[in-house]
Amino acid sequence: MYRHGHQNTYGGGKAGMKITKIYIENFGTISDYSLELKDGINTVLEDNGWGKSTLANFVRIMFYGLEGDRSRKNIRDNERNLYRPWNGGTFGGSIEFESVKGKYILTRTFGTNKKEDDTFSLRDASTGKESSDYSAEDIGKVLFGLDSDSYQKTSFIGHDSIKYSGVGSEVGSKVSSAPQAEDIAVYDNACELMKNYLNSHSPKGVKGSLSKQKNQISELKREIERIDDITRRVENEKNAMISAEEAYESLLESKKSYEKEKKSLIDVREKALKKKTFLEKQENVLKREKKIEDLKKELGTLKPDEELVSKAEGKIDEISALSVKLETRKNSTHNDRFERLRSKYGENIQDSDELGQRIEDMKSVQEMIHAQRGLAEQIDREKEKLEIERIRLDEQRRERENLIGAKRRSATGLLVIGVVVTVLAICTAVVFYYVLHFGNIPTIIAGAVALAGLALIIVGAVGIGNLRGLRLNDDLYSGSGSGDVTASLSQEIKEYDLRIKETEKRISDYLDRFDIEYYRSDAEGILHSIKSEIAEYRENLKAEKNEAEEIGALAERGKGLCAELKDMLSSLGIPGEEPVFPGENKAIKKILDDLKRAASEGAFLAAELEKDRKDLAEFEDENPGIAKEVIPESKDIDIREKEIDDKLSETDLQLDAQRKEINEYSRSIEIRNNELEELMAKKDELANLTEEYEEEFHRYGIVKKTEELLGRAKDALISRYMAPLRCSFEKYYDILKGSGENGNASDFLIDTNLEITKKELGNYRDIRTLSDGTGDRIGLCMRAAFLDVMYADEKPIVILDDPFSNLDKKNIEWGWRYLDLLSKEYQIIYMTCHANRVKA
Amino acid sequence: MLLFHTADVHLDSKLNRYFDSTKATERRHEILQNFQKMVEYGAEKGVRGILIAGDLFDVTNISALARDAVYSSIINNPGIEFFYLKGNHDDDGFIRLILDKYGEIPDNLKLFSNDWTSYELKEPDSDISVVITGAELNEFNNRKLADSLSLDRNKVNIVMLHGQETDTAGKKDAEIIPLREYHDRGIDLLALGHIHEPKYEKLDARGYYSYAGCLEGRGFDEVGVRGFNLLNVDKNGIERTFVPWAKRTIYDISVDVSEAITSDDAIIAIKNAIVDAGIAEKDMIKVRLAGRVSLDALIDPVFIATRLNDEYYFVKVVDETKPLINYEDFAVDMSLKGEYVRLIKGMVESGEIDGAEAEECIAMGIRILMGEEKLV
Repeated sequence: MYRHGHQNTYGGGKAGMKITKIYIENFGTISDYSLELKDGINTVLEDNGWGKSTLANFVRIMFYGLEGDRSRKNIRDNERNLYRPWNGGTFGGSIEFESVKGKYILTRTFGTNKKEDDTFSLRDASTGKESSDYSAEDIGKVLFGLDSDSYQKTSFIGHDSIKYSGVGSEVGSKVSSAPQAEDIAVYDNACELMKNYLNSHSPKGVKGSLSKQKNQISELKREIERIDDITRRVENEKNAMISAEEAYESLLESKKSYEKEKKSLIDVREKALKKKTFLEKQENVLKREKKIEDLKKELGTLKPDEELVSKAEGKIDEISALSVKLETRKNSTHNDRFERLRSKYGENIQDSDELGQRIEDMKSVQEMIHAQRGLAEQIDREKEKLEIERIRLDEQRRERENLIGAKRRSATGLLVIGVVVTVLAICTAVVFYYVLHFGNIPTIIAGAVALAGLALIIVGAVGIGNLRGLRLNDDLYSGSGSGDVTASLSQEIKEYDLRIKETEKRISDYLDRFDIEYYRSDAEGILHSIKSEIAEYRENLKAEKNEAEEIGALAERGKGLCAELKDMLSSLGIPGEEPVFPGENKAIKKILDDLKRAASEGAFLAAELEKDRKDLAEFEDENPGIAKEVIPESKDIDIREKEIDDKLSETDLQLDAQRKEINEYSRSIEIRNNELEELMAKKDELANLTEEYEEEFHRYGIVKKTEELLGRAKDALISRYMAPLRCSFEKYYDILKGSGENGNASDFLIDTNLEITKKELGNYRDIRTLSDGTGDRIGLCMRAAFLDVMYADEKPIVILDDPFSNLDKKNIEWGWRYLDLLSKEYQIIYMTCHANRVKA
Repeated sequence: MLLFHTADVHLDSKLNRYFDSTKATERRHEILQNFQKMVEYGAEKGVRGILIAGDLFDVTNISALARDAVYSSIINNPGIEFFYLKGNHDDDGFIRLILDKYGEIPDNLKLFSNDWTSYELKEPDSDISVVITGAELNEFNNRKLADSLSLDRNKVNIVMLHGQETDTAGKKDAEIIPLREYHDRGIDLLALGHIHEPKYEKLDARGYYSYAGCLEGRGFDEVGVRGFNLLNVDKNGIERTFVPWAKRTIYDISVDVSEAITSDDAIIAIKNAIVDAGIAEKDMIKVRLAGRVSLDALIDPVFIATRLNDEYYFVKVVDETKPLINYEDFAVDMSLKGEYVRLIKGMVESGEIDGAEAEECIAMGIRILMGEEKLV
């Protein structure tokens, strides 16, 4: 709408919109205030603090309503609170205005709550009737083609909003009065923000996060694509494993079959073994039977009567023993010694008494020789004794002479003392007896003393006796019989010699009979030997007689035994053999031994045969049918067993190989399944990532689109306003240009960021470097230019709040010119607090 | 005779779409324990069988924890027959793991194959019995499976399958169940798995088909009540009751924040909406911010989510608001903003830009010019 006719409006004539009256009933600090307005400049001279800004805002709020009802940020943003009178209640007023549609009275009141308390009234000023040409919501927008914010920024020029020092500054923005200017600064930030985002999130290149995500997704997709392939491989491997397992099972079956056959072969082998045992047992029986038969044949007519044979053997032994006995008897006496004794002593044995006498003679000789020796020794001892006696007697004679004197004195003393003591004791005893007449003790004492006296008498007497003995020895010493004894003894020795010779003559004569020479030292032994030989010889003679009798008896007995043996041999079927006595009958004995062995063997064989038959019968019972069973040859069994063992070994190898194959499949499947599970997890990851990517990519698209659209909007905004803005600026600047200023309005360059530079000497100079006056003029021209551009249809009332307060006298002139110029296009409320700034 | 029909438990699910590793682990444990609790509940109720119509596990590499927990639940409840039909997420892993560790499959764990396998369950001291038949679908057997299904019409028949229902009988890929081909085959209940939302519909004149849905929702594509089917089989047939069982319900709510100027205003509006929807603190919520928001409003979804996650188990906030733009406000605005809005308005009118994009661009531009958008 506002575009329409825009190009024709700037710098054009004043449009129909004007305010004719303002009435503030109650609004902020102002109450019951009326202001009649005419075209052109309407000056309001009020003191500082009166409420000039409130008046300016009242005009805007009447057309746009209160701002900031939803604002929670700042109380100053909430105009309902800001302009509510301190005593509460409703506030508001009325404005009478004219627009292209007609004349109106706009009345608005505001309360605590917009919906409940606010009122809006628009009446046709001509008819006084309510008008619906404008509504409370859109009256400002419809009238001015701007929103509240834009209206405020453009139609109100404050005292600090003149100097233009670039759109980036607050002052600059206000001087320009352009919401676009602020937006463009914001746009630049927004652009940078979006560029940064688009760069950092770009789906192309390598640095953008979306590109990275896309690559990640592609990588995941590539990996996930393997799922089918791996699944197929797993399936194939499973099938292969099942086949391998089946083959394994089949091999196991084969193995079982071979093992079964092998086990059956073991049974066959066991049966063969049993059969062999059976046949062996059978063979044993047959062998035994044959042996018995052979034995029978061997014996012929012989009767193997073991008992009879034993008896016959007994007889033979008896005959043998008898024969030995006979022989022994025959040889027992007829020995060499017996014959020697016979020749020595003859048939008539001499009287044994003579031998006994000679033995006694020999004893007598021995005794006499002994006695003779004793006598000789006695002679020697006598001689020695005589010498010793002589020496002792000499010694005694000397000692006796000394001793006799001493002993005589002692013995005599003792004798005297004894007599005295005895006498005294007897006397004492008598006295005590008579004096006292009683008591034994004194008597006993007296008795003891008397006895002591008697003892002394005796000792004395003995001593005297000894002295006498000493005198007798002297007599012996003086004896002379020794020579006589020796002579007597020598005589006896001679007598013995004679007797010995006589005796030995008799013995020698006796020995001569047996041609034995007499020697004194051997004679006794020889005599005793003769004695024992004669005794032996007599015994032999006696035995010889007895033996002859015994031999006769033995011969008789032997004959009897032979007869008995003969009978036995006949019974045993051995008729031709004649037993002999004496003799060993070895031939018969051998026959009997053979017969006995045969008998024993026959009995043994019979017993063994019985045992074997029993064993065979039991074995048959234990293994029924064994006799008839036909068993393969052991050799064939061995061959088959070997074949089976080979097969089993081969099968085991195959089973190992199959098991390995199955394990390999199993491992491979497990690995692939793990891989599949990881890939399945990646599927989730992919889903999450894709979701994130798609969200972010969508956002990226929106941001990108937003960047593009914002750029287009900015370009449109700028292109919409820039050309008219420059024209309008130049119009105002040329009119208001100071006399001392160089250059024209065309020297100024306004860029899309509303930055103004001035061309000087071929270069563009920042206007901030220009003088204050020039800067103020540029600012006011820019504001006027914006007003021209922004308000295409209805022109707003422009409210200036003491804008020239900073201008000196020289410069205020162009201020008045500016007001004059602006007032041609706009209805103006010029507010000041100083009368000297009131335009004349 | 009571039976449970469950499916799509998805044990060992990674759950890292929304949760960090700690919370994902916690949630995995919850799902596992919830399955165990369902079995315990079955034991209390005296159910004879639990039908697991596929996807008991989410992964092939089953954790030892899940293996042991499921095995324990089976082995400790010998009175319950577990009919485990493998789904597209399952493979032989569980069976292999059981064999590896325990050496044998429990007697009460009934398995299926690529061909129809039937088990008959009889109620002791009663003539009530039910035949449970199932087959595991693949791309090879699917073409002929329905034709080869032969059921005794005189018995109560439950057929288990895992796949996507379809009305058309055209493409028979793996996990596609052309319902029409299962009509008039004597089925009393087609107990299905694969679709995570519970469903119970008429199959044919005789029977119904039902998806038990997942036991516990895991993401915001599984909003609403989750649980399992309780099947009461008597001589008259099968009576199905849905039992809500999920520990946490997942919600997706839209909250109008048109009146909000700040994020705190929006949080108040969201909380009111959560209370109105009867959502508990333990639940998981996706909040979609909606409405037309004033250009001078500042609503930050991340800030809001952070705040709400302090009070609820998990909240995801998605900003779907549109800017409130009154073109008239800018009609006579001489500023760049006014120029910008008028420019876009003209473009919308001339068809150069669509309305939604225009609104976003206006909001973005205005917010940037106002210094409200920092574009981080």
